[in-house]
Amino acid sequence: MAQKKLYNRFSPGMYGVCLMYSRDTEEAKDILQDGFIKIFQKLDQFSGKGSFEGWMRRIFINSALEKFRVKKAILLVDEDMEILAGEVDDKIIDLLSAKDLLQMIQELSPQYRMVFNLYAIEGYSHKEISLKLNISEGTSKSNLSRARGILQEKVINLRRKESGDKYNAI
Amino acid sequence: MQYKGETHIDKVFRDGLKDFQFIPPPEVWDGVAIGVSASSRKRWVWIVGAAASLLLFLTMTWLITSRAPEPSVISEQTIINTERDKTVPGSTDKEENLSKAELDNIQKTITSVPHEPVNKIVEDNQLAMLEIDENEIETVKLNDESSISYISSLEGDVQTGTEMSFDLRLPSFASFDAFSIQNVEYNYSNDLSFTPEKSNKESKWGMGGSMSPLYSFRHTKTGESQDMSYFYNSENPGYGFTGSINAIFKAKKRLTIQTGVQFYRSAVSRNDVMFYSNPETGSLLKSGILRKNIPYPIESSLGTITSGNNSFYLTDFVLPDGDLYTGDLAALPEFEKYESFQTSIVQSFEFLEIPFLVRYKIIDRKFGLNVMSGVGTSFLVGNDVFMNYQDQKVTLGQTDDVSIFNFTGSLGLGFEYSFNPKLSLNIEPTFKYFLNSFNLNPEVSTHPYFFGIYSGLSFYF
Repeated sequence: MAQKKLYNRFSPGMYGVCLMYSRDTEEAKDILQDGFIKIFQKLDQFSGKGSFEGWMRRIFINSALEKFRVKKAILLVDEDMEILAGEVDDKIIDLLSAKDLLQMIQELSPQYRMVFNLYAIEGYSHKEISLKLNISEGTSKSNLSRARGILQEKVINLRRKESGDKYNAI
Repeated sequence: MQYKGETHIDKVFRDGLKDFQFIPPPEVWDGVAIGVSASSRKRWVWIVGAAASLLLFLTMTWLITSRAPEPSVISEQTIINTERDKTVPGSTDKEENLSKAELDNIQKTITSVPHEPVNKIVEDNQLAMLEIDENEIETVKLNDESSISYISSLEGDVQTGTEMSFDLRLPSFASFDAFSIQNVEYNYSNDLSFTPEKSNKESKWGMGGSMSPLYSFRHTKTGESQDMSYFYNSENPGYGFTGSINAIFKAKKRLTIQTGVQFYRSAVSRNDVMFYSNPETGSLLKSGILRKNIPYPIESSLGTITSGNNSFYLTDFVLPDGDLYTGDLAALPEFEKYESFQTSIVQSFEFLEIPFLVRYKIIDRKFGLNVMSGVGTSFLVGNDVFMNYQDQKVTLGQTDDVSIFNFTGSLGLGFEYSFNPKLSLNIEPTFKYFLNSFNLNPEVSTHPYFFGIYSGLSFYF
């Protein structure tokens, strides 16, 4: 079955995308399922220009954005949240595994996660993000700054914990 | 590589996650396969239904038209004796006016109307208007004695070998042996010719469009074993709209048949529904409990409302004794972390219908009045449930256990204003009713109905 082959070929990569845009695996599974159903319904709309994987990736990101917009109706990001961000040693960050990075992103609040992913991973501008999320450019910049701060703090805490575990083990 | 405005931490996350892959659990593919299959099945149901409706329309049109033959036009019932005639219409001169002298060459013309002889008003120099295809005139040499005798009895002395031409378009003249004319009247005149009856060129086909706001609700009955009246009483009528493109066939002067494609959106709303949401994250802490189609559903007369949105628990509403029905929700340890609020939800449905309508003109004047009745095949193409929350429409999910393929009946009273024979304006209050139950629950029978004042234009080609 051609659809199953296509699914097997691309689902691991797209599941990775879904996990980045989700709070947990359940939400990621939902986005993955919805995204693949859309892809199979819209396969004939793929023009052949550009990368097929890129086209699929955009569909999954849009599916995640749709879910986010619904949640946003009852979710207000705490704009006054204190960020306890310190400077992080680049060498420490470089040692982090993809799983650690994913967990940190998933722990961000939905809007921070969306802004950070769209800007840092996908390369969208603040103007484009503001249109996709229906927020101002200023809010996008502010959210990105705070997301970075939270991530830096998480990295520091993780390294501290790992150092402590190593110390205790000795 | 580093993008403009990118920090080191951005780059670390991008490089670390850009190509991150993780094999999804197998149940995701099961869900995808079911979803794709359902959408594909919905498309096929629509195509098959459309084809069936079109076939029905064409069959009915053929039956009506084949049983109501138009009276024969006299120009098609002409036999011309060409024994001395070289100027008979059908030659290359047929579209020229003939002189009286030329008309003298026409010895006889025979006209006939089946069952009813008709004398035509005849004027000079009109013969040229006859349009007879010479390919449909056959010249026959009379050799058969019985034929000569018969023709002689009708037209005077006819010699053996006389050539006669027959218009083969007349079934009764298709063969010489069938030359038993019972309803023939003869017009003998040297200076007379036919005035062919002006054929009616007005097309029987037309098209049009109409639209209307819709009031919609439902008629529902429950089985004896299930009294859901309390729940159903909380439902309110909804409003929608409709638009259609119509193909019209004028079967008779006063009778038209209409088909086409009609889109309509309807809704039913309800007020007393409790919601629970997580104010911190907008999603469940204990995710997995509220997977799609395994939430706490809400029963409605139109079907079961299920949530496709993990942000919300749906529950049924306050019971008559005042208790809040929450199912197992309250047993969840996370329950305390959820906010509850009461709001209204709307069940919205969209249909595409192929109608088959018959319309009869009671008053056939410039300001006309007609009655309309018909049936239709209706396909559910949109199914959404949303919540009105803080002036926003939040999509919740859909209504399950509803019929995708439906039949409707329609009644209407139309007012028509004709600008000219080809163009008219119609205003038609119409009532539409589902003939089948829209809710597939065998304990509940629900028939949605709709009322609208359709307005539109009709144009005949």
